[in-house]
Amino acid sequence: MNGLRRYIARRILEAIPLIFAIIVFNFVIFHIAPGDPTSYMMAGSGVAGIDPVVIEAMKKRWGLDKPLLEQLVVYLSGVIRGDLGYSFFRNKPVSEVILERVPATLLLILPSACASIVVGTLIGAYLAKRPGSKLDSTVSTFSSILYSVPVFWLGLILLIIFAFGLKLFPSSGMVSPIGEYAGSVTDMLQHLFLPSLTLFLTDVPIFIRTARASVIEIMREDFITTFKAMGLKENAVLYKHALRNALLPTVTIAGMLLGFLLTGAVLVETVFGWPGLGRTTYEAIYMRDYPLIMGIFVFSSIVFISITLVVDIVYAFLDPRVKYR
Amino acid sequence: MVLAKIRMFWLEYRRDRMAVFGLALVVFFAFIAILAPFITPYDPWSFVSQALSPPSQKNLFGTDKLGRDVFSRVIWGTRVSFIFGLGAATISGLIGIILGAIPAYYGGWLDDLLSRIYEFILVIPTIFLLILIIAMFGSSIYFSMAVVGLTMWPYLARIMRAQVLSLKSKAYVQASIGLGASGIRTLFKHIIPNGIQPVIANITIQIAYAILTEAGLSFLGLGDTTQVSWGQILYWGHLHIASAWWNTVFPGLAIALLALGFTLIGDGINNTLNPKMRESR
Amino acid sequence: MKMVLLEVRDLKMYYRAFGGWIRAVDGISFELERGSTLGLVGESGCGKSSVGLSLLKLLPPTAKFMSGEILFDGTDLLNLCPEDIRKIRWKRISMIFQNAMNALDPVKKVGDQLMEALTVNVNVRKDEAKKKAVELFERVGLSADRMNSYPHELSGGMKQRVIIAMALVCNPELIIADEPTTALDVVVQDQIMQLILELKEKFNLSIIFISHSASVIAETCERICVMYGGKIVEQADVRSIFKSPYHPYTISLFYSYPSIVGEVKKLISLPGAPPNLLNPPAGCRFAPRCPIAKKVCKAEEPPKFEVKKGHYSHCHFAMELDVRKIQSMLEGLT
Repeated sequence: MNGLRRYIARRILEAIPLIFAIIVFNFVIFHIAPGDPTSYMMAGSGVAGIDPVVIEAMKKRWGLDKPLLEQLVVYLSGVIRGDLGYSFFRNKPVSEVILERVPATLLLILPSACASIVVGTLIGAYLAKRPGSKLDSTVSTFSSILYSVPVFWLGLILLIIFAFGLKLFPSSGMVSPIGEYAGSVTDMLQHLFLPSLTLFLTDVPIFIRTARASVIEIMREDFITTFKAMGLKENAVLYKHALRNALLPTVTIAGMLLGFLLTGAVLVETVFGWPGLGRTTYEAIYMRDYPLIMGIFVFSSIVFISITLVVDIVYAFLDPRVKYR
Repeated sequence: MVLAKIRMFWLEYRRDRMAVFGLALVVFFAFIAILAPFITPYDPWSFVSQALSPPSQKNLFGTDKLGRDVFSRVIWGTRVSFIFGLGAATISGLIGIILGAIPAYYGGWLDDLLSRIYEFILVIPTIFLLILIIAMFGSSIYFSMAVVGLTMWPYLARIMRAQVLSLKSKAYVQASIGLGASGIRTLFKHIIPNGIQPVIANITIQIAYAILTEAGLSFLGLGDTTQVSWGQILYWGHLHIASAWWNTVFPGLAIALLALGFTLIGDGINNTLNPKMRESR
Repeated sequence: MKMVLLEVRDLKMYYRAFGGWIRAVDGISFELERGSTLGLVGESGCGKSSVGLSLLKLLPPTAKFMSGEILFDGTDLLNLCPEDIRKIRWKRISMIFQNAMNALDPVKKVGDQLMEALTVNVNVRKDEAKKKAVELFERVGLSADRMNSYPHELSGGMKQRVIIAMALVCNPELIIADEPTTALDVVVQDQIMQLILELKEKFNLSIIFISHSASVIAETCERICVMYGGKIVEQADVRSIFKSPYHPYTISLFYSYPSIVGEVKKLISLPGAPPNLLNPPAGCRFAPRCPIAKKVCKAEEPPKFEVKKGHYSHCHFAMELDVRKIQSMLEGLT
């Protein structure tokens, strides 16, 4: 256990330089981008109604008249303290805008991600029992199709069918603006259904593929023959031993898939007008709210690195062979 | 020798029906892209009918907000999407193969440095990186293509690196080095040709991924508005989704089919290399 | 009065492949007496492991039994349904697998795996299972606290001991030991072999050893079947066959490994490759590599000769073999 603790500490220490690198990278980007770096940091400051005192304060805050190296130091220390800049379009600090929107995104991503991991893995393991069977090729074909469909287009098709055609579900937002049930839990679940379904359908094929491939691989290992020889039933071998071993690659994929999930979330939120971080990104692009775009980039990278870290730690728990070098 | 190998590969590949279907889809779209000027009934940029008219004999896929023929636009869009997918995957492939193979072959600090670089790129959420760069540097289609290519290569480099490391210890490679062949020669004559197949399978899948990414970026308003790409048609079309579904359905279907074609080819290559994934009962 | 525990009659088991059948087991017959040891020896790819797996029907889906019988204590295993086979697996016939490195689940503790082998087959309480496991660990020379180790934390020899303990957990009558010592170094090999033989006496087991090494088989078995190209080419008691082999392949095989005891012989490795079992040639399968092959060998399959009582050879020239001459011819070939 001591070894595990040291391993975790070492992985955390390794993540810190990566976070630094991300922040520096972002700084470099807006300095080499065409145009004046100040105009990126101050984008939107010309919007009417902004207090000139705030504008001056911001210029000072980021040391925009200082030499480059000093600006970098100011920028780094600012970001580390959680100050990601100021969105003049929204007249709020960027970090505040982001944190407000995170819960909605989590509400959208978490249930569909969990469902696709569980369902996809079980289906994949089941298919691995009879590779090449009719059922296997049918499901594989479906999953290839789902994998190739652009996620936002799938969302749009679901909208056309279920929202505009059958009028079963609302087309946009998180709650209805008016009506008897506006704002109730049922209302929210109704709004959540189509975007969650879209994300689920695009993520599930990846877990089917991963679980199927790794279970097939593991079913060929020698130890599987051992357990069959021992008189275990086929399903017991599959679910107790093969699947347990096959979960390891699934965990890795789940971590790597986070990028995919985030992409899906940005696009799906945009399609369904779901007021999360993705929709905010879209609005920021639309208004060219550069401080917000940069803030979202830095924030999501840090989240991404942290989740990768958590995945590595979970992996270490699941696989006794991980050497805590 | 090489031809015989390709022939053997094809004999095995064509046994996979889905893979052959994928190839057929890609060939079909390739013809459409090449023959676009001859098969489009109208100029994709000019007004031909009433705005947002539904599919009819005159306009097979209906018209858009500006009264342009969606069918002609989708056909022209094939060219842009093909170029985008192939271009991004070629950039990714070249960089991935070279930066995967050379450092792995020589080892040492170069290999360590490169491994750090891929790790760095792999921990950045690609979509936000693309949004940041394209929002700041402009959204010309060739620029986006290059940026997409530059975010994809680390996946290929990782596979190439693993292949080189395993082949380096094989007897014939050792023999070639022992006979005094220069390092670069051994690498390009023996190692890369023998280890490249899984990389090619993944490059094919990346073509699909790049086409989907172009569509996604267009959808977020980061597309090149001077081009008729499927992503652009879909982006402008979806604004009228409630009243004119044809503006959304057809370009999306085209994207899905072409991406499916490339995905199936990539899967087919992988299955051919690794036939145990689809053994018969 | 000796009793036959296992009798295999004309067993044919082929694998379906692209372009035909791979004749991995092609008409094999042998008997195993209760409490005795039998060795199957041959080069890799000769079908000996497929014989072992056939006995428990642990074959991949591409395998098919073409003909024959496997009579275990009077019942034909080939006629049993999967559920009945499962009742025989481990409780009456267990296996010690080739390649100790991979024969255990890498993510479970070895003690738990041992107990699982017991609890899936026999209805026992958890603490009884635990007691039995501790006892067996000590029996095979492992300390009981090793039960909490994961496979990767054990050496090859220790893993092999765990596997042996597992094979014994349900008190089987027959154990099939497929290359039980191949991946181990020489000293450990010897220890493991001694352990298996000791346990055999203790528990009155019957054992089938499968190995590519004639010397391992010579030291452990009472009777030997030499396999080549999916067939048994010679079958006899160990003394008889080592004293006077009656098949050119057996002669070459005995020369390809150093004997631990006895005179130092020149090592010979036979040139050429074993036959392709996908559509193999007609006639004797060894003919292409045989130093004394004549026309008839390539045309006709050799009959079974009983050269001495209980000593069989499948060679056209079994009755007129000159061992010394073949030895010197083999030496000349290398």
